[in-house]
Amino acid sequence: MVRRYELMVILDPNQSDEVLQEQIGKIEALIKGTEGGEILNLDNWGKKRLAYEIQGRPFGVYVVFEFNMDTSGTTELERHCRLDALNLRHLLLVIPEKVLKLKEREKELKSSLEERRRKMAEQSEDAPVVDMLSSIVKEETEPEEAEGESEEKTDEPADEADEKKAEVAETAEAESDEAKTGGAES
Amino acid sequence: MMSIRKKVDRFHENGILYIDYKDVKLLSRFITEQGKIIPRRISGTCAKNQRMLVDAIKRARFMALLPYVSDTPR
Repeated sequence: MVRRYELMVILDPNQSDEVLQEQIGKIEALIKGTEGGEILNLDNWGKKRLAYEIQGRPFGVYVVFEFNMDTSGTTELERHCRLDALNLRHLLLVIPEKVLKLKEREKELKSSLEERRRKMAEQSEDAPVVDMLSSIVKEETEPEEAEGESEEKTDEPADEADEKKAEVAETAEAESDEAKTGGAES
Repeated sequence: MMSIRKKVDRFHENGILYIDYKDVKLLSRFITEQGKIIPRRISGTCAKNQRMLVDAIKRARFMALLPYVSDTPR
């Protein structure tokens, strides 16, 4: 009976790329050698830090195989993985039909969720545009008020500015500013 | 008074039906700094997904993707 499998192996990171490729090739050959054996996906994660040391090694080369194979091939594959000294650890899993179906449905669900989120994002994008517009309108009207406010908050600099303005003989403006600051103080 | 927040299963929220042991980023959100699995009374995960999550975390631990114990908080 042909089943879907997934095999993850951690290979010795101290070996050269050629040796590692050879190791991967051996496993591939084993899978293809058995009845109904076909590799669907070969994922080489490369050198990764291990969460804990295995045989004194802090790193490992992760390789993931996804394949179809007749059930009779598992014993040979397990044996090879166990006896291979360069193979730090392996995990061979049967992927049940149920899980395959779940994964397919998950893709659909995720895409529909994404769509919904995109729509939500578009809607929320509309709102900021309105906000932007209103803020621009505010900016156009605000500056005069803002100047008054800043002068109220920082009394000393405002006074200096007033003096300078007085020196330039823009008396009218200075008076109005003083009136504003005076209003705030009282 | 603690504010009572409705518990939400984050797998339902994100449309995850099968929890894969290879998805370290996802799994690491369900373990404490010490490496313990967060109970579902805290994470809000539904019973079915918690069982699947536990399997995935244990597989990831075996393949050194996640720690069994880690005292150094990240």
